[in-house]
Amino acid sequence: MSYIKIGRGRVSYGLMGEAGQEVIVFINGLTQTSSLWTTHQECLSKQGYRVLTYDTLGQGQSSKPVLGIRMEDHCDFLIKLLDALEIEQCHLCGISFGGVVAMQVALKHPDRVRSLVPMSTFAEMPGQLELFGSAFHMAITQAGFPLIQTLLLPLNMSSSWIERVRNTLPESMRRGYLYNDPYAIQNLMESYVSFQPFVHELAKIECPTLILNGEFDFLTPRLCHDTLRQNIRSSRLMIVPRAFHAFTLEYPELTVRIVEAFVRSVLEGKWQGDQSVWVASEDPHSDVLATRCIGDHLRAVFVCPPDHQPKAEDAWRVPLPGSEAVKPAGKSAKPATSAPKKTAAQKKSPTAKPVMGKATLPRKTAGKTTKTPAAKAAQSTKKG
Amino acid sequence: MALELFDTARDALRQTGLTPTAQSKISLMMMTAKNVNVLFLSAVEFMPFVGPEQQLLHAQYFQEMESILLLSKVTRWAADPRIYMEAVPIMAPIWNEWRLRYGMPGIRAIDPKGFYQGLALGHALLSKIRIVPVIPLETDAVDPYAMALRRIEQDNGRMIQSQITLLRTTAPSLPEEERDVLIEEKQELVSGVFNQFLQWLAKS
Repeated sequence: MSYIKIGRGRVSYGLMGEAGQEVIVFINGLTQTSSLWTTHQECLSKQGYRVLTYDTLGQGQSSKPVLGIRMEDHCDFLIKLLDALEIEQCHLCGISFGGVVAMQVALKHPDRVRSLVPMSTFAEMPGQLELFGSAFHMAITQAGFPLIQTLLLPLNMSSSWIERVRNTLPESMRRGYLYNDPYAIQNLMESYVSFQPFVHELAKIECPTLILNGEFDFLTPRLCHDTLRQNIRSSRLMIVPRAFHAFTLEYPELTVRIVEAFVRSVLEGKWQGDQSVWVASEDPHSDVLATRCIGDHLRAVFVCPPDHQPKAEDAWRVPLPGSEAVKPAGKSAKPATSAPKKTAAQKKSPTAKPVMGKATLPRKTAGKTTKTPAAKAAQSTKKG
Repeated sequence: MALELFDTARDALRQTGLTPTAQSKISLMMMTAKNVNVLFLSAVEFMPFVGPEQQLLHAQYFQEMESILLLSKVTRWAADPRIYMEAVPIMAPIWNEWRLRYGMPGIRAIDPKGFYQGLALGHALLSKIRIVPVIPLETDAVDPYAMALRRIEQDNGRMIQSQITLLRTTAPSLPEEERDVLIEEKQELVSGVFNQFLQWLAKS
């Protein structure tokens, strides 16, 4: 890491890649340090980009003001760092708290941001997020930083990741404790006291924007990201499958591929910011990086719309046996526990449901979709 | 903060365990911090200009004394007098900060600016002296000394809330830049001492 003085403060940063290349900047989240971007930095610099990471004000090895930090200080800090490093424009990626900083930089200094990747982030604080924030603040002031670390871990990472690193976890947490000064983290949390929602300003962001959100991000849920998608014109939302809040750590390869593909599409003029919703591949080496999201992306499960009129062969609107509504007594009601009588068509084929009427969704046989991905994509365009 | 100093000290303790020598060194560092803060708190807690904050400082005064008492009891003190002699020059800058600023001029030095400096010193002592990361992870979870250190560090996190609040709200006559400078001086002073201490501890 290198250090540079900015005013009376000090910033710890790492710049990798040749001068003159397109610059990608990563901004870390709360309780993170720039060292967590090392894999991303190395991979992207090998692909011909210049990658800047730095410890945000109050974190890692950068200055940690005691008297508090204002939200706008973070924007100024980054712009001054870019000035000092003579970086005119960059592709700006930020996760969580860093995502807020990235969006605010894009709003205040649009000329410095060529494209934007807000990840696991928000422009307003819904009730759940606000209460999470209050809980974290209580934890740090009343029980100390280790409790914050312990609370954040299961929100940030999956159980399988935790199992994989279980042996090294105590040492990782020790290092996290050392890198962070609790009073400085508290200051960062308290800078949110003056946080003003900036949803109404998002429309001013004109640069290409790829919003990334983990499928199981409970800390900053889908709704936060959908607000960004709906308000940033040249945006797309991509859901990272099986990922939690800190997916950049759990899936660095996939993150690198997504960011690189996005930046390349911007540079080649191929970016289509159509506010559509996509799901990334689970395999970072897959031929197809992402596919259109089918169904309601704000739901956690794939729900059949109530007004849906399925075709006879539509297999996914099968009534749960015994779930029929009980009709009032006196009418020809059947006991709710009895199995539904199969129609002639149902007897012929397990997928044929003549009672369901017409379907507009892909034909399925034995649980397998028979429509081509292109047809599916065309169909989902209406929804995304 | 030099992270490798923590690792070196931790690795040394991993080899030796929490011996009387290691415990004495740690306790001397901790008690220097706590005693200096207590001296300041005892002088200011009844000063008329302190106002409503008095309750915070009063509570911290007794909490710090409790920590000193706990350390005194739980430490297996080393018999080797060299340890105590070696400690003197390492801890001296913190004691000097008290002696030169408040000890020699006396209680009159605790004017609003002096009060602010004392708070800044307290903040640095509570935030920069962090012993828990040097305790080896393999240490018995119920080792009384390790437990005491963890408890004290957790208490520090709670106590520092007084300094965080008061540093923001008191001495409004001081320009923010001047306040920043005062705070930074204390942070550097304590960090410098603590880094020296970690190197000394690594020789345990």
